[in-house]
Amino acid sequence: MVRYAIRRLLVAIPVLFGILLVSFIITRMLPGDPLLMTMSIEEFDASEAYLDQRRDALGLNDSIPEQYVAWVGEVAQGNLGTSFQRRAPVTELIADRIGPTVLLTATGVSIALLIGVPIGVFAALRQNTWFDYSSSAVSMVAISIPNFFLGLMAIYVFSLRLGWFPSGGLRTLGVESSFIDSVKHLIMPAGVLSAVLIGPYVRYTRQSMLDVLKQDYITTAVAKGVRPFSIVIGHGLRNALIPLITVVAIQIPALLAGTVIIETIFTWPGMGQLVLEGITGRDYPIIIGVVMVSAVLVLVFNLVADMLAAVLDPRIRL
Amino acid sequence: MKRLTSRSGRRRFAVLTVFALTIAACGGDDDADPSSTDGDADATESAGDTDTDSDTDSDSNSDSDSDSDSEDGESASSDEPAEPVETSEHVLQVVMSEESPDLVPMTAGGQGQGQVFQAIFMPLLQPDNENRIFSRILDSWEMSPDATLATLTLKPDIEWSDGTPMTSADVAMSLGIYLDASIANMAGRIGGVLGQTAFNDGEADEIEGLKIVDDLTVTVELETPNAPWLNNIAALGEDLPILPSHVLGDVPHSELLDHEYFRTIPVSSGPYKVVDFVAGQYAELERNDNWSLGTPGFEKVFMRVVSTDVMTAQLETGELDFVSPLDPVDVERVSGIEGVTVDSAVGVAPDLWSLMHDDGSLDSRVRQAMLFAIDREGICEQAMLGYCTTPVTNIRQISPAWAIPTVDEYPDLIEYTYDPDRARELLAEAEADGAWDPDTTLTFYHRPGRSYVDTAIAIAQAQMAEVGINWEIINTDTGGLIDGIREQPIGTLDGFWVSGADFTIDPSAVETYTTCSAARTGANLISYCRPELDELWAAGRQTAVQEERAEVYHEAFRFLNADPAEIYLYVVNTIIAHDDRLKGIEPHGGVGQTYWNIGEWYWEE
Repeated sequence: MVRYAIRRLLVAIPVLFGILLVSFIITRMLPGDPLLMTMSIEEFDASEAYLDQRRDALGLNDSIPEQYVAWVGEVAQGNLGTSFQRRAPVTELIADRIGPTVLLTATGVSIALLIGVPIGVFAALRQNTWFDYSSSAVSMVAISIPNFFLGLMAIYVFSLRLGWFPSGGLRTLGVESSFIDSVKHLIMPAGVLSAVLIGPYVRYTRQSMLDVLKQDYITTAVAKGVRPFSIVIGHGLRNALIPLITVVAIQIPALLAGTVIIETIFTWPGMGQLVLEGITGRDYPIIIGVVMVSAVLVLVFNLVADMLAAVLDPRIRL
Repeated sequence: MKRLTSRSGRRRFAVLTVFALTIAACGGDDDADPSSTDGDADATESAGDTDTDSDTDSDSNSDSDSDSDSEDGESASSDEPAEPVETSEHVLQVVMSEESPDLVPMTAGGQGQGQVFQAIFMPLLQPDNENRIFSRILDSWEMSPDATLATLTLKPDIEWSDGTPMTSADVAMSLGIYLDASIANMAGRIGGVLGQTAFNDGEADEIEGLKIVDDLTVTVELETPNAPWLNNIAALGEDLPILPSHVLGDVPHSELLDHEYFRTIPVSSGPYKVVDFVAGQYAELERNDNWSLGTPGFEKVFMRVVSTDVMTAQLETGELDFVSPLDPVDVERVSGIEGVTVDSAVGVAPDLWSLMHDDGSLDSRVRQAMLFAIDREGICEQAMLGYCTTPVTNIRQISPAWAIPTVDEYPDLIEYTYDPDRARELLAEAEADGAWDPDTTLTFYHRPGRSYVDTAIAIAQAQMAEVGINWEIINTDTGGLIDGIREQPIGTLDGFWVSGADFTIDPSAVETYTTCSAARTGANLISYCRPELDELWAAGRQTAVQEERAEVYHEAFRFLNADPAEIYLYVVNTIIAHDDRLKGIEPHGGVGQTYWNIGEWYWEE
């Protein structure tokens, strides 16, 4: 398995550079001058000398291939460049933002799995009962409601009306940080994120369990008098989790870079907001830096998903 | 299978499944502990609520003007902030209306940055909430009768937060930085200083016209007469903070943009000091105990970036004490929140339906027809619920009053009130002369986002279509708009929405948007170029006497009234809302100047 992992990682390197090259070129093709984007559009009266000097300093006067080579050189030294808008190293900006995003994503996905998977399993075991129908209906509703609406509703109900939770941010500014305060701030955004994810998880798990429960080895296990719990967990769920793990593994990198709406609504200072600011400000180093981090995460999580699948089902040979 | 769903089996199954999944799902994850986060961010606090009042405006165009005489001044009556009643333990939580990417004044341009600067610095000159120029640090400022020499005299008792006295060296160094075109984006706007060109071309080590007379006096000699020079300094206000020469005096200009000082601003002059600045999230400020003008009302202030969607919600929950600008459509709801006051001030700039002229101007009758076709008063009522004014003569400049021609003085001034029949007549005339093709479809680039603007644009489009002027609206973002204006072939777009700047201080503010030399590559985004108008702008700059300047600008604005460069749809009020206990607030029409008197704010329990 170790050799398999190393082989996959080696294959991933050219893939990663391919992704970055394409992203780099596409980013440079976005309309809008990144230097002018740092100014107010109503006040475009900066002198040519200023614009030239700044373009030079930002490397924007070089050709795209030259810019790419320079950027790759920087990456090789562990530097993702400097933000045009903020004049800060992109690695620093990403490092600042990735913590809150990982916290939000990990909590949201964990809650969704802890709720969604048992419901899915139980719905499969009780196929075509009121529980199955209800869970399917609730899942569909959860899938259908846009997360911005859920977020705003959550703020209205739990923050404005009930006053249980703060409406946004990572912590209360102006008071000493505390664990309880952090949890209070986390509950609503993580809750909304998990609400969005629970629906699909219920449906994936249910469908997967139904497929597994029809397998001959389950019938054999029942016939042999294996305990029901062992059948469900040891034989059923273990196999049913394989497709779910793949889904979650693909989803997590996307969530890490893309919970833009939830982060914006809840003023959660994560990667999503950074990406959004990068795109709207044509801040190339930020965009390409986040693309790189995302690409690496996708490759790593896919590898992890494959390895987990092999652990859960030894028939899968790596 | 039946055994699996027996009651006891279900119970055990449920408990054990949850346990197993807890291990399975969380296994290997290292980040479920909220305390482990290394980021930091916004949010929360609580306050209270009570009642409301919402007046449409506290100022008006007509009465907020006449005092804006730049030629000379002494610290006006409004320059001395009242001593706060008492300081408070309450942490003031306010919004930044947009993100401030950094704290580097040389690249100023954003409202968010200007708002932070209002709290931590004191500019040379700035407009108060009635658009009168004042200064907190200057004892006097005057322009010579021939408009070539500005003399600035500091008050003797102004100190930096570290106790160092503010002197003329600080003023001269700061102006020298802002006049350096290689590092400051406003160098052209405040330019024309003797020797500035030679300095920027590398032919001189210093700017000849910038002279320190004594510890408190600086003179600025201009290359040619420029009567509004001081007014332009005031209009830029918070974007030109005076910087400490004892910190930055020895730093070469080429190293300034990335200098450590601008990361944390360890020495400042305003009522508050920077404790922490996290771009995109917040600025944490604390009271400057060494503020020369009194004791600020709060020990701590947080200026936070909050999305407009949740801004009012946070005001209601008490997480914020002050929000601005409030969308007019939110006024009614926010007015109903107990413990919250809503107030407003007339804005300082119109929202425009800009018209491109780079492909040759549309016939002036067609542009006039557009103005008659749009019910701007109606838009004001419908989209902004009356929180706006309408420039009926389509003059961009709002004040000072002496510079604005009126129908009483000039009966030939066209008042563009809603008159679709007149619009059709003008179009028919233009069509008969071959100057208008009714099958034309014009292209408009819009940047959607603010609901009232979107509504206004949609109404204007529909009303122009009713008289036969068809616009196709393409939604884009700022990058797309810049690309359309500057990079795409001429004729790609015919109009776009834009808003901003300040048209209340000096009539020369309009110049840069309609002067030939700034067409396409400068601030004249629409490429409107009329040499005869350029002559008037030049005359306006060179004329020092206000009465004579008035005549020149009257003529310029009458020219633009008859030959509209753009459609000035409305001037939206700047609406604010705050906790009732927050006192001392005087709403300002400029969003960037929201915190112009934050040193006077205090908390009354």
